[in-house]
Amino acid sequence: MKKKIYKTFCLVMVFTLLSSFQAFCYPQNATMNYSNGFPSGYSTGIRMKYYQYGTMNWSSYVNDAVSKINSCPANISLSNQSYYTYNQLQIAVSSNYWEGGDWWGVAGECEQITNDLYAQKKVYLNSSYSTNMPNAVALHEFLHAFGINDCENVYSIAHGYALKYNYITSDVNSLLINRYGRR
Amino acid sequence: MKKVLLVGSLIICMGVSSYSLAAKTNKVNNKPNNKPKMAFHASYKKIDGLKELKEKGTTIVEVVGTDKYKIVDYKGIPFRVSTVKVTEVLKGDNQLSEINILQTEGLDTEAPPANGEKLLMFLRDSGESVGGFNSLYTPLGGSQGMYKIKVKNNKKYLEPHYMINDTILKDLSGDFNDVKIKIKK
Repeated sequence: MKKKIYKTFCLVMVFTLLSSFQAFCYPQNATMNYSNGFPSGYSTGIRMKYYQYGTMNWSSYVNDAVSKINSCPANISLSNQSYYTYNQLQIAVSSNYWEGGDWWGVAGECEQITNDLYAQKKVYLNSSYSTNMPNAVALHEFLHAFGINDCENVYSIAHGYALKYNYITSDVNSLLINRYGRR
Repeated sequence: MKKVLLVGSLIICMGVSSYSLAAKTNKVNNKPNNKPKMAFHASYKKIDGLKELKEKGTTIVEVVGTDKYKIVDYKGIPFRVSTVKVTEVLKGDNQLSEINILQTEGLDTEAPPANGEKLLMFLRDSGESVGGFNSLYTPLGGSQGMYKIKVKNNKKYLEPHYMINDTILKDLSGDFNDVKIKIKK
């Protein structure tokens, strides 16, 4: 009996340690945050515009990411047009040299669009922090705008660091289809 | 005695279950109709262990967080400048007593040092003046360059501040005094 109690106690302690550890890292697999993103009916033709500050031009990488969003099986799309004004935009994309930032890209500064839904209003692409896959960074940040969370899975475009893929991986495609439906 | 132990184990089990549930809920807000949460996300380069932290960190210090901070606009993005007290310099200028840490505001992955929190920080010079501050330090790779200094049974050890990088954690595991020797080598 004592052994049983001791075993139970040890298991509980191990579980406690594991729980406290996991609470501070990304989830293993990509997940959808239903509080962020767009309502299904508005998930197509999301208006975005790219603003370049500094000498590095991200246009081709941004366009590559846009084309991948627009050709994915889920019913989402981005419309990248230079004539939009800031107030017409759902996503404003800026590139600059943030030497004090140690990240490749950030999606954030959300705007409330319905009672329980916030959209990422801005995407920032850091020209001072070099990457060999800038198109993957742009695509990863756009996917946040559609509600995709970071994860620990290195085989996913949603991986929080060290991006290996510059296309929408199947795990993320499934999440997008599940939320927004198929084209 | 057995009964007491059994009841104790049950109470702990229940506590752990509730804690685990709460932790999971906090980790990802992934169900419809949850309270809306404004999310910021950043993507980082993964740092390849202590060797890279030592190479890229121009300043490696043991610090204590203070309540002094300022939010500044840095080329259109809100950043936080937090002041920390330096208790030991493992690499860099030995005269440092107080430094300013530059982090992107609003990111979970760049949670600032809390008041009184003891940390080991792997830093680089931020490269340019921001918000009137000339000398600023940026933790490497978000919080891959920040570790809490904990004490258990009179022994110090390190815990991740937020981001978990297994390669780094493996290098930083064990007694903190031994880790410090590895860092200073």
